[in-house]
Amino acid sequence: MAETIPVAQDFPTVKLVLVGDGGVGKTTFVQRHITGEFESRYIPTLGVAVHPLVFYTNFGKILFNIWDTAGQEKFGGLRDGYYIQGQCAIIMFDVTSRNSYKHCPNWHSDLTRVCESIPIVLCGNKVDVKERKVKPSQINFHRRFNLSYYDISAKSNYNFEKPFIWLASKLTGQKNLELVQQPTLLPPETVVDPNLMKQYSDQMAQVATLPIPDDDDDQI
Amino acid sequence: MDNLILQIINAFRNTLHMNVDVRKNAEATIENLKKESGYSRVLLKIIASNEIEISTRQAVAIYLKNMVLHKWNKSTTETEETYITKEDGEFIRENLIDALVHCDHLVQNQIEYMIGTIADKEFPTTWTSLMPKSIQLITSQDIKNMMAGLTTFQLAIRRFQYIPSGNKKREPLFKVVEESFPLLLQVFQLLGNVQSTESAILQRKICKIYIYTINFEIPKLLVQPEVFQAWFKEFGRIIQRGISPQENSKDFDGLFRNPWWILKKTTSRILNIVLRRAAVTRKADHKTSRDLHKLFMPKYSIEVMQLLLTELEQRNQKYNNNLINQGYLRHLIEYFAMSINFGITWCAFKPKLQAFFETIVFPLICYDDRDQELFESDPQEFMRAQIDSSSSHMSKKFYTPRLESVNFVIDAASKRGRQYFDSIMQFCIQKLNEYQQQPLEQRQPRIKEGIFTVLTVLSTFLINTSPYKSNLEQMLILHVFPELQSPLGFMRYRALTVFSEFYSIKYTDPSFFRNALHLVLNLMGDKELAVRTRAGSSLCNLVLVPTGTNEIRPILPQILDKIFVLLGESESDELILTIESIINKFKEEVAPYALDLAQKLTESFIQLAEAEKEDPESGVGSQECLKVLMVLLKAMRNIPRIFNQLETIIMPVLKLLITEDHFFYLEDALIVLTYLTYYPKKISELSWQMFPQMMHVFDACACDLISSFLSPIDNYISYGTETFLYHNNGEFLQLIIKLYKKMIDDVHMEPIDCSDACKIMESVIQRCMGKVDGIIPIVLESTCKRLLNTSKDNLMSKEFSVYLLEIIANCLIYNPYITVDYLTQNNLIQPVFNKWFASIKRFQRFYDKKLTVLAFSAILSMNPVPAFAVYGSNVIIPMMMTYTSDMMVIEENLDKADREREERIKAGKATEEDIEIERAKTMGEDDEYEEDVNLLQQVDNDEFEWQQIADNEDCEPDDEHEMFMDDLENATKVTKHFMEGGYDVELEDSGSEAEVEGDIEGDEDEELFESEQYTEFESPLDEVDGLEIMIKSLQNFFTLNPQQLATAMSPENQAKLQEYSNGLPARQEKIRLEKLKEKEEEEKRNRK
Repeated sequence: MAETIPVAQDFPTVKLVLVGDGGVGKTTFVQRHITGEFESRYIPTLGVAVHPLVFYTNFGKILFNIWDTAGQEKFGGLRDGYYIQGQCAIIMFDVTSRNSYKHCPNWHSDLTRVCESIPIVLCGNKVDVKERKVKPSQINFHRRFNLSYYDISAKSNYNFEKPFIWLASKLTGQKNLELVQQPTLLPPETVVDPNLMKQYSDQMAQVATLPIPDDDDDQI
Repeated sequence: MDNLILQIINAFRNTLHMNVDVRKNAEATIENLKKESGYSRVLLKIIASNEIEISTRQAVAIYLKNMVLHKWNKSTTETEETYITKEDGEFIRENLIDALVHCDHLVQNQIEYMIGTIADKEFPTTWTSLMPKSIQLITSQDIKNMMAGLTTFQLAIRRFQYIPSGNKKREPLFKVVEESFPLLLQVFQLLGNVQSTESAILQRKICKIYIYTINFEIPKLLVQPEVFQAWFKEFGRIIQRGISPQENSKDFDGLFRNPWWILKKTTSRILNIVLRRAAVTRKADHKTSRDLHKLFMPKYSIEVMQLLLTELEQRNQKYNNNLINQGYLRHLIEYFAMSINFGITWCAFKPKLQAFFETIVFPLICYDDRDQELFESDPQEFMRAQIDSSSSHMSKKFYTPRLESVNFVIDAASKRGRQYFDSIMQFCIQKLNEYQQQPLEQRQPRIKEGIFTVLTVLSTFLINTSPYKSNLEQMLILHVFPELQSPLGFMRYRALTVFSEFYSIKYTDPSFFRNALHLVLNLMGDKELAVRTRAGSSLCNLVLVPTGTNEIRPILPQILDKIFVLLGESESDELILTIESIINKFKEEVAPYALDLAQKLTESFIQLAEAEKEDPESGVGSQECLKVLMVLLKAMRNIPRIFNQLETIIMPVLKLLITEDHFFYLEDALIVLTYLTYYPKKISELSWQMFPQMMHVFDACACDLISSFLSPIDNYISYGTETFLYHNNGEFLQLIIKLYKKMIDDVHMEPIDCSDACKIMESVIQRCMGKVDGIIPIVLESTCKRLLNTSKDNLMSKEFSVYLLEIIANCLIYNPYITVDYLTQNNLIQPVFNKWFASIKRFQRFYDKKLTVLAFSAILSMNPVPAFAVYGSNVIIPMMMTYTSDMMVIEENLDKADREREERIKAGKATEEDIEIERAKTMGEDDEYEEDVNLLQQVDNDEFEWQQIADNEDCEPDDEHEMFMDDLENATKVTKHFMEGGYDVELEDSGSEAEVEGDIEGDEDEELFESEQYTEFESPLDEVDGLEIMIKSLQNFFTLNPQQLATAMSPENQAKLQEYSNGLPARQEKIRLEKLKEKEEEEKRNRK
């Protein structure tokens, strides 16, 4: 895999840490960008792999160096050692696996122990799969920590760019940031059901308004 | 620096490199170096040296943290060996605290994690230096040192908060407290003079340490009067401390993180915890708890009350812009709500009650700017946040100051006698009259809104108390109905709430009600979503009134249509309740319409699901549609003609939904199927067609949804046993066997799901008594294999192991000869029974004990009794006797509760309906009685009986049921001799890791099967008397093996057995009478 060492550039370069349980689709997700390809066979990531991804926004070009870390402990390499100097992060889980969602708080606390208050997006992958186990109404963990959440589907490109737009807008402080050029993605291998996606997002919106527990008592 | 250190630093620096080869090399170097002895020590040294750049130090710290985690945390499943030698480990442990002091905070985060991990395992026994070291730091008067010392101490003591009183593991804490708390107190006092943010953080750490320590039981030292006083002086100081505009947050959101507010909030929590602990003492409490009661209640409880009162009164001047942490405010109100309950605090609070209500609590209840913002920007959320909304029954941690205030009002009005209720009402009436008399421009609608809320929450008392009950009509006409036409949306909303809350009152002229009802019907088209929805859901009550019924009857279809439109807009659960209420009220009228309705709903549903053409916004949501179908089925369950037709209409939807393609609806669809198979108590031809399809879906993709399959499958087996067994050469039975093997044979299946598979298999074995001999060996094979599998991969839980053993018990009850034969031939007797005896204390429920007794009785009834049972009779029989006596205690307690209920009926304190509802609730079928509850309010216009408790006495605890369960537990504990020494509480790793919402449980005790208390399935075994069977089997056994009597039966047990068998005839007669009575009641209910 070719990786370039960034030289002094006139556009921002950002280190993005991508974490989550093994098999939730982290590597597949970053490889949707035309630099790679969709791999339906599961090849666990060893340690870490870095993918540079460029996005063109109305505020200029931005380069995300995505540190795609190993989800499985045994392939972990330095694990949270790779988070150092991370400027933003994506925590990914698989909506067909309740365990992968249950572990998100652990990923989150590992992240914040190293990177403290960086912008973080929570992503539920594989929403194209019919057997969704983690329903939108159950996803509330991100609200406690002010993360943003997106349903995504790496296989169908659904919402691929959303996490990056949100992170870019947080990092640049530009609320109206949007893409001026869609990233070149591989053609989708499946289509998501738009009605179902609408339902999901409605349910998310409904849940988003429930009160957040007041839990500063947990802090050390 | 020597070469090795340089090499390590360089390697770690390179792990952050963008270039893959540089990184790979660096990681390989680190991997190699890690085998060098003393490596971990070197890492610690690097972390501590502040010369190296932070990112490298951070990398090293993380690496070391992972090594520490690996060594100390056994839960990590890796097999890789640890490279921290014993000496290295000690070195690290002994130097971590020093490192914590000076490191960069990014490195500190990792060190804290390491300290917490090691302390959980080794403090205070092995890690003896932790205490002196942290105390030295804490008392050093240097902020940095103090921060490190207190953090360390807090991490070390954290785990004690979950260890209950009386547990041996708690003992080390007392010594720690003796040694550290005097110093902590001094520091706490000193910090009181330091006004920096760091001081706030440090003081909160001390407060947290205090909470961890007293959470279960206050240590002896802390109830010494002078010690207690000194601590409370400091708590008082913190409450009194103001927060300057510079210290206060700039906006509402910032309040949650502001260190000063967090400190105040934690302190207010301490005061509430102490009041709760100190106020009520029970016989079983430890001495320190009684000391706390004697110390706190007479003096402090009242001083604290005064302190908090002043704080509440002055809060608006004290904190700029009314920026107050909401959690803090809620805790303050909570103290007063609790104070009403206890004689001592009540006597002191009584004179201040009215003023407190009027000036503190009431303003918090009134509509405010934030409500208005919500009402406009997000009506859905506005509705959810209302106290009358069903979603407001949330756990305490979601409580707002307003909810706490409402609780306060209810307690203040109802717990201490009529006069307090009267004073509150007087205030309300006065405010309503003032409003009425004021010129328009002077009126304050928000105050009136607050009064409406108070009236709503006190409605039960108002309806049943003279003279109020006769004035309610006047109140509605004069004050409420006009607001149905208010120009203010929130006033229309609240007026609807009041009207519907007081639906049951009598009107002198029905036209008053009729006119208001028409206004409500109009409001269903209001421009505000919240008002429209509220208008729709208020019909839930209003249709119950005869006038309302008559008004609505002719326009029933239109009304229902309108509600469906609203449902599409706001998806409110209350609207579903309204539909349910209307359908129940108009059963006969709706019956023909029901079919039409079901037809319409299913058609549009199928269209939506199949064609995906229609805009989902235009119709009722699919999930709501399924819920309405459930309502229809439930309502029509007693009209077989309609029910059967509904089944025909609904089945195509189920055919569509119970497939792999509509996973999202599967759970709801299975509930509908449960109704179809449950209410008729027999399985129709049509329903049987669903069975193979349902099993297919399960097999294909729904293994972890098994809990939803449980009820319908159980219905098929229970109500269609013959078809289940013999259709197509036992095809259906084979499907169940397949399900069971799929779950049990795969060691990776979650225990909780496998337990449900066991419940299904249990239903088969019990329902098909004598008819499924062939499956017993197959079932036993899978069951024993899973039960006895000791591999690490085998997922197991305590509950699941009980369920597996109970399958074996069921097989024994089914046919001991086949079962014992199988176990013997496969050499399973010893391992299975060893496991069984080892699990004895996990058989906690009545049902578990009964199954065990029946299973062993089955063995002892065999002829000849198998040799293993003869040899083991000295273990088996005492165990049976113990379980039996446990069961007798539980039965006795239940009988006692029954008698008490009957006495309450006799004394006229409760009606039979009350009891019926209570019974239904405890049985988990309360929804069936909803309509009765509604009716109850209507007929029951008797005077409310105001409690008269002497001022200096405590109120009864709210939850009688809870008390009952507590006592029951205590009673059974005595007989559970094997449980002596308390439960073996396993510490949940309380670590700093956050947990997913909903999984957080505070102090978890070891009660297994909690959720199942009342959802027992009907079982044929319910009809069997365990005692009778046991006596017979023992008689059989001792006739065949008289020589065992001396070893297997202690004289006490012999006497007991004699006692049991003497009492048997009387017992049988009692059971016969009970059954007779039950049958009568059942018939009575059906007639109704």
